[in-house]
Amino acid sequence: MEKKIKSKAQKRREFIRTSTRLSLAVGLGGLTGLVLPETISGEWVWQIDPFECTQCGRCADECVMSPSAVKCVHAYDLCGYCDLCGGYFKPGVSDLNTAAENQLCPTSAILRRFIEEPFFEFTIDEDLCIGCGKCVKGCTSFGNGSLHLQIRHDRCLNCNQCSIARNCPSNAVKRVPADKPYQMKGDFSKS
Amino acid sequence: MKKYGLYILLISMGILISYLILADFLKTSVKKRQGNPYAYNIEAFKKIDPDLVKYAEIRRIRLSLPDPVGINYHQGKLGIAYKHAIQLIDTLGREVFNQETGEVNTCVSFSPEGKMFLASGREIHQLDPQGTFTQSWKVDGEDPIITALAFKNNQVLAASAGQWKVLRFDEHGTLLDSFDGTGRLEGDYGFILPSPYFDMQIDPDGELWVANTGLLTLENYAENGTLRAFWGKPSFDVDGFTGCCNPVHFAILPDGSFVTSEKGLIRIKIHLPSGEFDCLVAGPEDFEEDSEPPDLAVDENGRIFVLDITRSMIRIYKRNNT
Ligand code: SF4
Ligand code: SF4
Ligand code: SF4
Repeated sequence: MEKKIKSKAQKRREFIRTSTRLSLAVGLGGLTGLVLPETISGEWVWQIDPFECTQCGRCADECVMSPSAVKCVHAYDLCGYCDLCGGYFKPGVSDLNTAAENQLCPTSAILRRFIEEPFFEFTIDEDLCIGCGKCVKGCTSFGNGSLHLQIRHDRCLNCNQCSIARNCPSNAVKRVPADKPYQMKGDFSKS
Repeated sequence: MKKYGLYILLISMGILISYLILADFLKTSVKKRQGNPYAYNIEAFKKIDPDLVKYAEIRRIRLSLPDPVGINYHQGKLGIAYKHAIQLIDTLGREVFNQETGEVNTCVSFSPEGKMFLASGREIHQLDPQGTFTQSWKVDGEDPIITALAFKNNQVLAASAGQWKVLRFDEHGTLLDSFDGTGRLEGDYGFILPSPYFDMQIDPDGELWVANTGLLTLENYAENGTLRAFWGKPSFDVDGFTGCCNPVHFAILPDGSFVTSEKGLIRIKIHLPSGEFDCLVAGPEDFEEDSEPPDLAVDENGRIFVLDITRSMIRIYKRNNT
């Protein structure tokens, strides 16, 4: 019996660790491969260094695209799959449920899915996300910082001078090689 | 004359357009811009009710070596683990010894008889009172990260944050068994450690307590590794634990109360042996922005030694009116 329990637990943990890693790869890597050749002419693209970003809110309003090409992304490897997610819930909520008034995100772009007691998975609906960084601030302050902002290259026009880069108070938006267009937490670390 | 009027009109229009462009620029320039409309004011949570603070900081000891990582106390002495050194000092900060180590250390602890133990990721070392290594053993398995050591029935218990397990060794380092906290009544999950913090302590009655940080609970385990009791609740309020993984460190006072240290919103709190919130020792405003969460130790008089990793100092707290 003990063995059975252990192997089940092991499977669940493995599931969480590996399946989410895969979903990340498909979500970003797949898109990169498919979309980049059409949208990016040069060898460099704009990207946010998540360790420099201070979640000032300008990514939501400064982008020439509307809604912004900046979206919240999730480093699932770093996520705690917590019930009380600091990026999802408004502080002080009494019931940890998905009622709109409990959500920190102004556009309800974060989806909370029950996986298995006691785990919840958080995914981003990019059509709703405006890149405001509010959830990033909550996750960074109370959690592991797995939520962070990235310029999504299936939406970004790769402007000569990124309007966000010009106005970013933290100089967090930089040119990166087009063949490595994302700076995902977990994939690279603070230097 | 007609031409003259046209010139005036053009000049006036030029001035008007320049004025409009300048006004728009000034209104929308970065410096003039309104604050962040999506601001999430974390500062508000850093404020704590001063009536809840029942401890005062009575002394600070500035550490002499770089990169402290862990602290523990035994009979008037403090063991400090640094990334690449181990040090023993008294409670006034006078050094007994310091010893360089090769590995990156993770925690330090004392057995009830006062033997000093140091963990460095996948290795456990024992030191004599002069700081000489007397025995060491490797922890096998995938990615062990030993973050706490405890001692019970002549056994060495090692909390491995990398493996989500508590490992039990005999006093010579032979692995006896391990448990992962599974098998509880509701759900088969056990220890859940979203980040490499996994603390463990023995209370004054000899009971083993483990911080199951992913569940925001402190849990009591029986000899056979089954869960016997737990307390802790997720909450942004001061009486619960917030974030994805807390408490990251804890210590147990002589009366069985718990001292807990939280990351994210750094708070040092006291919970009664029942788990009920008692009071605060220190709050977020007592620590620097983005501080590492402090490790903790307590002495037989209930004084609390807070290892302020970011400021590289030990801060000693005493309960008011005691
Ligand atoms: S403008 Fe810069 S600091 Fe502000 S949210 Fe965007 S990347 Fe972060
Ligand atoms: S809080 Fe802002 S950045 Fe986060 S998901 Fe919602 S819209 Fe996107
Ligand atoms: S390069 Fe242009 S489209 Fe892309 S994020 Fe910057 S402003 Fe938006």
